[in-house]
Amino acid sequence: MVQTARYQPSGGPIEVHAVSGFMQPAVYTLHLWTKGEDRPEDLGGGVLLGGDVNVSALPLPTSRYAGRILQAVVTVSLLNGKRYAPAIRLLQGTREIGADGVEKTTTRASIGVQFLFLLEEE
Amino acid sequence: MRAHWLLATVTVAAVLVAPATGAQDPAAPPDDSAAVKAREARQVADATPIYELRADFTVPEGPAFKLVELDESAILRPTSVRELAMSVADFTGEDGNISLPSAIGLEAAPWLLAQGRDLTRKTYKDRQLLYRFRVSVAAKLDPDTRQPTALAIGFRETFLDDADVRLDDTLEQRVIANLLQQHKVYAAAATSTNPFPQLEAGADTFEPSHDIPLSPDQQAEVDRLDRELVQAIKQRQEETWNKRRLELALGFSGQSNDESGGGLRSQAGQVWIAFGQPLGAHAQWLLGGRFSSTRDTTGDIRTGAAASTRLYVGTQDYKGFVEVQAGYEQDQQYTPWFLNSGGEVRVTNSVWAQLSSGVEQAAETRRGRLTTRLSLRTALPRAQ
Repeated sequence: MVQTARYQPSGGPIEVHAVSGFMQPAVYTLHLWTKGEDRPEDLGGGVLLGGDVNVSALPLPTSRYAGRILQAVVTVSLLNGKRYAPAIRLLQGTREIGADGVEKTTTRASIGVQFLFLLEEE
Repeated sequence: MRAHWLLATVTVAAVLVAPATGAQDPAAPPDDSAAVKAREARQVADATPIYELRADFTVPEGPAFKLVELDESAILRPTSVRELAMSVADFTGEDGNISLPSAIGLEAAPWLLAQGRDLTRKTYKDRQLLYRFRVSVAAKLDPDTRQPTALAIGFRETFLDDADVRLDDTLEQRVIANLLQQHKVYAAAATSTNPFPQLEAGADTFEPSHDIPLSPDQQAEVDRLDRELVQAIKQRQEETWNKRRLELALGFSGQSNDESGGGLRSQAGQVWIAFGQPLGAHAQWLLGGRFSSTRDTTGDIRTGAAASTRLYVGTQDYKGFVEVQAGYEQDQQYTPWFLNSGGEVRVTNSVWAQLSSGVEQAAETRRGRLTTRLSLRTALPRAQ
């Protein structure tokens, strides 16, 4: 489901907090979609290890996110059992403006998951 | 004939712990032929991954099980912590023939089980003793009535484990190297379509799945990389099965006076200490000690101690061992000793079979007697 994340245009940068539960190693990337475009703008990403939260600040000026979709793609390795639980939180300052996550099982060795956030100004 | 029994028993055990298939998968591809290809590719992948991936490097053996199994060896083999492990043993009856197992045991790491999703590496590292602490229970069954005639509870702590998968930087780096390649495939698939048209077509009903649909080619590539990942982990298992470990354990058992399992009373308490040290790439040297207090048939308590050393030579999947042990028994003039050798085979990634044969001197008036033991160890499917 697309989560709607409402942020304050003058409220400072938006941060993405990514985590992979059960200490499952994971890799994630962020992609920013604009209506009518064929390709998203890549915003970087990171590696998730040891159940720790990885924080990355969105690089564009906050005003440029209005009406666009932020897509987070997470690929998880099932190194520590068959359960996986990647999650993404969007924060502006200390305020959570969006969050999504899954907790599932798979018999695969790895699995890809995506999260979509529609960004809107408050 | 006996070999057939052994093979059948091992096969049944392997089937019992085989992974289920058909759990969460990416969404089906758009057309029928593509769907068939994707399904076939998925079936290939589902046939191996998760249990192959589990980086469980040595045979689980809990102290409670060790007590009810009445194992002559003073070595409680040190192993990396796992959430759950199970043992069944004593497939050999008094006449030496294969029989139903008469000892079963279960070992769990309660804090590791309870923490689950939110456990971090830092927390685990800071509180290693807590998360590596294990509790085990075991029962000895009467071969005729199948009622428990002895019950035991045990506790185990790992003070040193150089093969702990949760703290293995090398393994993590290899996994990430593979994941980066897999991620390219998933990211390409996920970003192949702009989600806006779907969102605008039905803002209230647009509920894209968290799963990422893959084309047959992408699925095949991911499956290939999954197999490479499995191989990388197997390679790491081979590199670390004999690493340093130090463990302390204790256990208590009670024994029933009748075949129905009633009248249980305390029978023995034991403490084990074990240290494992690698010898080159293909051998491990174990040094173990056991201190015991046992109630004999007259109701008197007798104490004893034994020291043992065991040498494993081989690989992660196949290894042989030799063992020498000497001990002390209270009020006995003789020195109990034990010579043992055997082999261990990893039947599946979660099942090990161990066969050993030795000579034991356990009473002053008797000559050494032959002992033979066949046991199976398995890790239960993980809750996490």
